[in-house]
Amino acid sequence: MEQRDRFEGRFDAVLASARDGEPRALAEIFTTLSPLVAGYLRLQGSREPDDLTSDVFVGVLRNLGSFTGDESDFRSWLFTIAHRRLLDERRRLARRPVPEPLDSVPEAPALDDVEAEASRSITDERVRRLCESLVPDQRDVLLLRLLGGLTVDEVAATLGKTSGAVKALQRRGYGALSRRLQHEGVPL
Amino acid sequence: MSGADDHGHKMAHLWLVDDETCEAITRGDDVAPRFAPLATAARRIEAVGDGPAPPASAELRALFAGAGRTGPVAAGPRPLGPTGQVSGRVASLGLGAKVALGVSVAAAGVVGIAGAGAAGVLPDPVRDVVDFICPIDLPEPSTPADERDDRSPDGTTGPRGSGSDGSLGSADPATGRDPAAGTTTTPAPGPAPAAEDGLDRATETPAAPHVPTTTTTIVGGEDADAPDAPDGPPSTTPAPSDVPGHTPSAPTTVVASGATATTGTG
Repeated sequence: MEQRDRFEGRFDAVLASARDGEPRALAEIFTTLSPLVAGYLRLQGSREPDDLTSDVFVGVLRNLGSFTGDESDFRSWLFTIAHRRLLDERRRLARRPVPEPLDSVPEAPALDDVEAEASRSITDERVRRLCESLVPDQRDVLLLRLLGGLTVDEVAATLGKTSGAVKALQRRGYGALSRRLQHEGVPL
Repeated sequence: MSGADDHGHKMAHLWLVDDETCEAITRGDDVAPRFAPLATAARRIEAVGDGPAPPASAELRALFAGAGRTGPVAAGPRPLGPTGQVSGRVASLGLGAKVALGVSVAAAGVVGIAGAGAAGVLPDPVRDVVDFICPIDLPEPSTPADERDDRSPDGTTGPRGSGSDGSLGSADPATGRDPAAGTTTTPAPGPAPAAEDGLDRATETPAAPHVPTTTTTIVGGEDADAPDAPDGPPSTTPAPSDVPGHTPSAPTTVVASGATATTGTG
């Protein structure tokens, strides 16, 4: 899985420099992995994905000394923290709902504009809507696997589930996506 | 079974994805043509993470700049030092206790700075600022010493500044012995009347005929902690060999023919 080596084999060196407080190494970890984390949070429906991404990396980079492992382990650790911060945000918003601004609600396509809709390039918004159609547990599994690059066992550890449960959620999640794509009739 | 049920069953079968196919889709391997849209969707999801890095927050930029950290990233939680322990204890206090503590600390700071300014231990510019902020009129440190000198029972003038700056005038600063007098001198600071009271009381006892005409007053070394002598050596320190059986750390002791009266010095 190419997602798992974004540092081109230099992860250990970058991590060692970051542990020594080298600013360039700290920034490299952020610039390399933050798009994945921000994308994960965005597709999970985070209200402030960019701010939350920064919060995640502040926590991660300040605790580099407590981390041991390779890049795969680091990504698992990173996304575990990201997922927990996401749950914190959801709990916080559940206590104090924030009204959604009107300009963030996309317009529904007109019925006679199907052809234009079909020819339109796939955007992040459409992918987000596709993910939004999934049951939350299925979405967690698929996004951690595809964006986080986590293995089934790592996803299980992150979500506090068994590997068998994660595999079942993965099957159902892909099945739900397939059904949705089939119903839309518009290739991605 | 109706035709619709057959159709639904067939469609449901199409949507089933086995574990092997799931892994192939996730890895980006080739899959059967009927799963191609699903594989494309998976790649689109992955592509969301290929965008530019989001803007870093101010806190994160400060972390990149090395602010708030002076060395390597600490392993695990930082142990609490004395300051951290005090902070933790303060944090555990109630609101009322925190307010009271804050007022106390502020008052102590003002008094401490004002006192330092009045004592002349601050540089002139700083003292000017302190005098401006805290115009507290404190007595000159030498004034009580002069007054104590005036109270000397033998009419001699005691060492200037004894009890305030630790200097003992002509007496040996280490032993407090005056080479000219041959006996240990007592500058007779504030507690001196108390020693006289003790001697007076001794003369009222049945052992009064045995009360010596001269007294030896021993001031222990711990008197350095007394308010009259905050920083300097004790006002008078006896030579241990001069006082048989004397414990250097004992408080002021008046030896009166076997009867010992111990008085406090402060």
